[in-house]
Amino acid sequence: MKNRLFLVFAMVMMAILASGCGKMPQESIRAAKSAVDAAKNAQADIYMASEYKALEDSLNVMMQKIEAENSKFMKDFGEVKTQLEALTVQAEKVTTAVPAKKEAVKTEAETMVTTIKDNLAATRTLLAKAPRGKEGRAAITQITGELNVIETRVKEVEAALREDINYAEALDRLNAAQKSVTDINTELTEAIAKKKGR
Amino acid sequence: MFSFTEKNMRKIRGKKWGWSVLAGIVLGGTGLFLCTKEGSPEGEIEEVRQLLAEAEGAGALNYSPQLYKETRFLYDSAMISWREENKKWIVFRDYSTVRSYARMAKEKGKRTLEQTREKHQNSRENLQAGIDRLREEMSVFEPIFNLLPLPAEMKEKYTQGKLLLNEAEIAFKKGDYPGGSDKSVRSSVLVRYAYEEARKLLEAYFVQLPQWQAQLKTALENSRERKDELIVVEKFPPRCVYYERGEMKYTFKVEFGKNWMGDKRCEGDRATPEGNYRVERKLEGNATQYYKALLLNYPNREDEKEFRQLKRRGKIAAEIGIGGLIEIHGKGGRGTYWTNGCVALANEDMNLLYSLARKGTPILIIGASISLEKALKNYGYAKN
Repeated sequence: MKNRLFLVFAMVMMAILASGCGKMPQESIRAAKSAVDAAKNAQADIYMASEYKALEDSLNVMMQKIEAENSKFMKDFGEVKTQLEALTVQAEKVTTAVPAKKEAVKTEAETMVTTIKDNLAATRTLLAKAPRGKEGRAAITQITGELNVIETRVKEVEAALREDINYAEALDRLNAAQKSVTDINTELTEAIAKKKGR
Repeated sequence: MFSFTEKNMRKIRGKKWGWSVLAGIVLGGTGLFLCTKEGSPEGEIEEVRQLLAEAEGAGALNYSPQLYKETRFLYDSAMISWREENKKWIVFRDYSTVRSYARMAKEKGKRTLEQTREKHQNSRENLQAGIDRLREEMSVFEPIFNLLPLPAEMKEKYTQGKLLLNEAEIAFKKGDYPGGSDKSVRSSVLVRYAYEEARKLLEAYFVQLPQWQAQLKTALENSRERKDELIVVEKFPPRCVYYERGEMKYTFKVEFGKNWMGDKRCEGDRATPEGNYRVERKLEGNATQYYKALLLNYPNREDEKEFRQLKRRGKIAAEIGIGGLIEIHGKGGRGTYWTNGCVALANEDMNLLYSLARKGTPILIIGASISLEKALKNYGYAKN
């Protein structure tokens, strides 16, 4: 009887050893993957690019760790499971933070629209102060033309801001327009000062 | 007292067999554990992952997308293969395919990283050079461009090109070289298109160069023969030259009206007449609002004849007159073309010219005395 018990024990041990000790943390893997996907869907790759890249890379590391454990005779998924759960939490945090980041860039772009419009108005006022008559007409026509092009560009971006676009790109375009207005304003101010000084 | 009975012997044999099985399991398990631990392709795959992460960080998706994609594919293949092997019972696992994928991925990954770094550097340098070149060209050609009577849409395109160049500079500062290059190229297309159109306009105008050169030659010969002074106004590059007995004495910078290119046809066209004139009257003080002025005898007989012909052909409306009061006057030096067809000099230059000229001094107004290429070079602009 004792011998039979011993044999059963030995076979159970063999079965356990053959199948390994740990079980793959499927639920944790699925949760981590879907949390990273959710971050991407929330546009974390645009507005929190470095954070998103870190998430993606961490997920790759986790998947490797899982396979490394699977390769072992004695499997232990405890550590990787904890790490996957931490990654899920981190990905959820990023996903939650994206709208605020996006809104901040959008607000910055909207503020820039207002700033450029103000600058355009100020430049047009300067233009109105420029010497009239035949003297400055040519220059005024030319500057007005440039200001009109810039204004059109700003209006295009302003309209696009109402849609769900890449606000970071829109902000770059606005910054470029702002530089052009500033250049014209400076040029005009200098020209008026030069005229006054004469 | 122990005795070697049949029962005792079976007990002893059973125990020995049990211990042997257990020892076998422990030894076999340890062997398998050590064997599989050594056999796992973990290290090779980790190297590839690190290479991929580094390449992506260096911008491989922009600079070497194909190589990156291929490396990624090999890495994924290695991972899938690894997963499949792990599903097998431990003694039947064979990681050679996984290793093979990992090795190929590593090689490709290294090339991806190298190519990405090289392209990144080149892209940075090319973008910087492209922006600098366009800025340089613009700084030289823009003053000429601004003086040309080009259609508004052309100037619009030029301004759009300038805006794109600003966007390219912003992208450059952010390290987005591919995005910056795209914007720089688009900017260059718009700016260069505007320049080419401007150039075409100038080339069409310069068709008259032989005629202008002949007029200048005759005027200089006359100046030498009559031992007389001569004022020559050239429109491109804009200058006023004072000659004495055919010898160049002084050169002044001048400004014209918006439609300076071409001959004056009628009143209000803001063009400066071209041809032979003379000083009709010298004006200063209250007689002129432009500091000092030399009134030309525009329109002369030739102008009147041309005007009548244009009117007959219906090129000029019946109510439009030929115009007049064309002067070489002061209050210039503004850096823009602003007159209604007169020639403007800075006051200090006008002082000198006014003192040298007399009533009847011949004045020749021509488009240019040198070729367009030379004229553009004088502006510092040479076509590549």
